[in-house]
Amino acid sequence: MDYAMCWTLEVGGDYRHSQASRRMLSGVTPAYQGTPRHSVLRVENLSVDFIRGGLGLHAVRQLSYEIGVGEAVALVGESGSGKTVSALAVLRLLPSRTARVSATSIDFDGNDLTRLADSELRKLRGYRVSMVFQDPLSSLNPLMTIGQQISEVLTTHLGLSDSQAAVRTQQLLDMVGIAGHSRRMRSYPHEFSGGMRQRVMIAMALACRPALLIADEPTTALDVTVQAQIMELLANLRKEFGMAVLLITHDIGIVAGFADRTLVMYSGRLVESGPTENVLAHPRHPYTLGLLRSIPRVDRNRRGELPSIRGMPPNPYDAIPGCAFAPRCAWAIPQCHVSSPALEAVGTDWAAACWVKPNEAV
Amino acid sequence: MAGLLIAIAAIGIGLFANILAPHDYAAVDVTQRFLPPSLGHPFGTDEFGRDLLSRVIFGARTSLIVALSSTLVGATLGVVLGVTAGYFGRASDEAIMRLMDIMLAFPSIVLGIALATVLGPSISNLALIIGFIQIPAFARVARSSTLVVKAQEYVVAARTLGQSNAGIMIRHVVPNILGPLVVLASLTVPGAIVTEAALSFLGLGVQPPTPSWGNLVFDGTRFIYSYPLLVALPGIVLSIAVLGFNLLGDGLRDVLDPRSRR
Repeated sequence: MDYAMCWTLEVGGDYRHSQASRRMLSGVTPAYQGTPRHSVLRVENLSVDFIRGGLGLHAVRQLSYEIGVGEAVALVGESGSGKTVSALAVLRLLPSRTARVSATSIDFDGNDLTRLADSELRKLRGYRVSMVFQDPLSSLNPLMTIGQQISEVLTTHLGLSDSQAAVRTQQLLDMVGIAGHSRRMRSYPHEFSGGMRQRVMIAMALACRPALLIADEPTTALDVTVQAQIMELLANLRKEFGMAVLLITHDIGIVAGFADRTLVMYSGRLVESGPTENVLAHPRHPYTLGLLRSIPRVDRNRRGELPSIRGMPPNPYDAIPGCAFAPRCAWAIPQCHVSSPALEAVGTDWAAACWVKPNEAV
Repeated sequence: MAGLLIAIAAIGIGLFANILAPHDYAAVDVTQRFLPPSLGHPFGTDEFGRDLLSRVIFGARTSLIVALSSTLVGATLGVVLGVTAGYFGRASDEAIMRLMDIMLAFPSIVLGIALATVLGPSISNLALIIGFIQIPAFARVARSSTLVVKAQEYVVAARTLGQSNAGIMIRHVVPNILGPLVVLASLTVPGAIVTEAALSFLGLGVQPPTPSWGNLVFDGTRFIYSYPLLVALPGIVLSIAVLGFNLLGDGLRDVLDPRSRR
């Protein structure tokens, strides 16, 4: 893979700034050309266990999903459902000391990540696939300037000189809506607000125009108005770059306007997956239904108590014979406690892992 | 504050020894032996009639060169080992830290005597030996700080963005663990001064006629009953300098560690 390919499309659409960037653009093919395929990431049977004191904690169980080129997919679930762990496992970022990761295959962009050497995988990280984290306060090195941190990505993956990287960094800051570059580039993270730091993180993640961006609860640490701005920025950049996004969130509210498809995880398993409008309007898994019903709404039920899902998520150390949601499920039938349901199609590109599959409006 | 002043004064005296010293530290005058303190010789003279104040001032230079360069050696090697151990963990951690434990198991002065005997006494060897003795202390602090920094999200983020391990260690880990290391270094300097003095006192360090605080005290012990000032004056200066660097270290720790701030 040629480093120059990363430069095939302009980020800010503006290369007036320097000779250097013009030189970099010349003679470059118009679009990234990998082997033709429809999905950018295809995960098959991903399981993650954490070994602690001889006990195995099943964080992710037999997870399979696929993200199409340029597609926005939301991975939804409550804390501890294995959303983040499954994404970190894909990028091999879990500590090998405690995490046991197994998968039939993880196909990313023509590479099988289960077999790729560490050094090869490192070249992909930040280059073809990037990640934005939940807490922009702690995701930036407090002792390096914003400019240095963005430039670092560029010099690592593209082999740019410091001056080339500086020009490029300005364009990236432009792209994420941070004005006053020269002063901003010399600023330290503590001088930025939370929203601006998250913009910087996005600039770093998108520095090489990755094919896939994994956004791990990118707006959780931000207040609601900034949250909307960041989601809008992500949506715009996604359109502009034609990049796929895996949005990990526990906030179903931000999924609706953003994701093409929604995956719902519970206790390490995928319980429902389908087009976002279907899943949000007519969920076929009781857990999804419960999640949606527990969102406070202005148009309904303002006096009564907010519905919640009763009970607690199962202990991840336990081996559960049946459906993990069965003890909390109002629809549970005896079969649910005995055997675990597999994902079954309930519509086009839409599946739910439930024996009952109740058909109720939210 | 007092520590900072004393440390600056000591370093200043060492730096400008040739300007500050009233006499040539090696000028022998047998007619002027064992003179009591006077205006011409504020600290008096020694058994060869050399001006003791000049010798103490030049001794500061020798002692501080050894103390500071040995701390630099110990800090550099210790940080490299400690960060490597903390960052990679597992086998490398075990290997490095057990090696450090073995080094710590030897009393430092015995280790110093053994190494000085093998390498031979000279100022540069002395700096290397004392630096070597200091490695475990720096390695331990660097390792534990690295364990903290390693778990920070910006290190995970750097890995996510494809940074190499070496790059992460140099650009993200080391700058963020400098605080405790600076404190440790300033607390190590007085120890190094004392170790230098001890080795020189034993004749394994700085060789005469070059003065160091250690060999000044050592030379003076021969006359401790007849002329105790030869031991007392360099000893007092040595003590003040050690105290100063210790106070500086404590002060730096208070400034850099928010938990110990009032």
